[in-house]
Amino acid sequence: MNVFALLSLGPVVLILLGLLDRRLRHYRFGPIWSSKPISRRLSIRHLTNQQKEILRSSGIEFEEPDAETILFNDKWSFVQAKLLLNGEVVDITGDADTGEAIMTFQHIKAVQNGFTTSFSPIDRAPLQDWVRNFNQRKIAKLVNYLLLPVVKKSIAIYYGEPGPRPNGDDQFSISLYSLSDWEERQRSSPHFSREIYDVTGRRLIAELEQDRLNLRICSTLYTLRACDLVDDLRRILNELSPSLILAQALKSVGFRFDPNLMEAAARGTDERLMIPSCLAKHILEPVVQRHVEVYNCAGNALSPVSYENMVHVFLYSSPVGTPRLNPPKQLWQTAITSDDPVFAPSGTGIPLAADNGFIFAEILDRNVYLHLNCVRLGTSEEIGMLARQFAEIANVMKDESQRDNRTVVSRMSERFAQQCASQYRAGGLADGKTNFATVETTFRSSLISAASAQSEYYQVKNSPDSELRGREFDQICALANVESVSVRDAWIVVTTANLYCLNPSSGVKYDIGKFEIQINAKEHTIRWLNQTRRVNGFHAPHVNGEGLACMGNTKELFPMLLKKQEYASVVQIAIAFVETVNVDDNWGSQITNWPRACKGQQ
Amino acid sequence: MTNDRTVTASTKMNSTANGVSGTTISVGVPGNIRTLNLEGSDWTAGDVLKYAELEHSGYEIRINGSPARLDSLIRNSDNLLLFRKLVGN
Repeated sequence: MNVFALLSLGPVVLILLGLLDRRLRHYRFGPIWSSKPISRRLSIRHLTNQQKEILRSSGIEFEEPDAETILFNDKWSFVQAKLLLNGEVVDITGDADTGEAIMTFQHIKAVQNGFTTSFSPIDRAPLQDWVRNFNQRKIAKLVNYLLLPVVKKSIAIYYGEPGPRPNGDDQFSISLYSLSDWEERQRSSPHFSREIYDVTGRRLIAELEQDRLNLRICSTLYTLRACDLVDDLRRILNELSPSLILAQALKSVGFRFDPNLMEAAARGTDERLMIPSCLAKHILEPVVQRHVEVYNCAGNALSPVSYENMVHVFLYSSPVGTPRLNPPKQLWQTAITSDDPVFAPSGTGIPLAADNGFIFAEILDRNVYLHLNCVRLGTSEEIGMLARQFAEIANVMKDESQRDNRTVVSRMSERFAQQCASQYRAGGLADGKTNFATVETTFRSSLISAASAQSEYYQVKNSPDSELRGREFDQICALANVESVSVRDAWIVVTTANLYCLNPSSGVKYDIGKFEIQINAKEHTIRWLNQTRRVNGFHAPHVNGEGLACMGNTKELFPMLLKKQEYASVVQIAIAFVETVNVDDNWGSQITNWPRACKGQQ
Repeated sequence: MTNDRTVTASTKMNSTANGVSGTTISVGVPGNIRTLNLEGSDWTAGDVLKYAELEHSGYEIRINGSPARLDSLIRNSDNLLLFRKLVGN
């Protein structure tokens, strides 16, 4: 072998040594030429309690910085743990001081049964193929060991082209992009970056980073560089870990995470509502001393409900209306990522305003309405925002729980004044000077109205005979089929014209008769007494001989309306109740026993 | 002791600040009734519901207790109520 051959072999040997060093570095934690390995501390995540117990009983020392992670004190503890747990190191990430060992264990492999990781066919130049194939093995291994046990779905990996639009719960997909692919895709479809879907229903990835676009999805992972995949997967795992997210969110509002409460929240709860329910258990339930039920209303208005022993939290809802306002850019100095329209305050409850004056929630008795679609993607930022809102609500409910009925109006007035001041501060910075006169006039007018309302409230409360106020009284008198109205002590008595009921299955109209509707304003009860006839002892198809009705879907409606003293609504619905029949019901099926209405009658 | 009260009307046509006659009505769903002061008098039920940002699909529309349609005209002091179909059982 001549000198030239030796010289040409030199670089090759150096390259091979470099690759070997890189390979061994993970396991020796330092360069192979170094006699003293660097003192790197390693951590592992997602161990089961059983595995942790094995380590403890074997005397292996480790710390638990959070619920998901264990951190070894030295590298030998890590090596012993690896042997004890029969683990295999997939990769090691991190810096020179601390690193995370990404490992797989038998129990994780068992979870993978039945799921597959596949690559889409790709068409690349030979050199890229070589690089790609190398990465493919690594990517597949990482995905198999890290992501698959968590998502528990088959995973498809696409390279250089987007995967199919995720369609539900069957498959999790990853799309790897080069920068040029991504830019091209965004040019051709401006909304591409927003094609983000929720498959597991729990976590999605946070905001797009400007300098390093990696991923922000749950069902589809977009990443620009395969070398970032480990970090990306780690972020996904963080986002997929409810306990971590909850602990962070609760810590940010001064609460401590309790795993038992999370388990309780998970029982019998829709997976999508587990996180909000858990937050409610931590933040709201200790204040209201009742069970708190959380509903995902998805932008639909819902009437308040009144189960005595529960508090109802309606996410993205209001008692009335539709979401039409533009969402705020931020609340409490935190950006709002959702661009869904929000609800305007209905004006019927206690409004809760954020620091910028945005009314984010309303409280009506034991119903809480959140106006913002704040859990759209389920990111850690969104959960933090929800926790903040719950904390604000808890503060108000804590105050309200200490109130008595006599001070309710003054409390409302105080809060109204606070909200006015808050709104004024928020808007006053921009054009406070020019609008000052208008704002002052409005404020004075509002104050007079509030004082008047307060006076009226006390008048009504202190006068037992004045439940039926003038305007309400006039409205009842103006209702169709109402002949007279009178007040007798606690009773409001309405007499009606002859009422008719249409059988929806036959189209035949029946003559039910004239009624006296007796409303007890104190006990919140209602009776229907037929003044014309009774059929088989019944006053109406759904009203028995004592004048009591099988209320059906009005069971909660009447007491609620009576409590609110909405007597005109009560009378309208009471009359409509007689005019309606449910022929699928035993009582309602007796409608055919009533006399048919004559031709020309209503 | 019985305390009967006679029926009297206390509502009247509303006037706006600039002298244009207006319409004052109550509108809403049971449990959440609002009073609206509307300018002018040619309002239909559909106009009012749109103005009040109330979704009416799935609801019965009643004006002063009578079944109504979206093109039914609204008069001063009317009560426009939306409620779900009643089902006794």
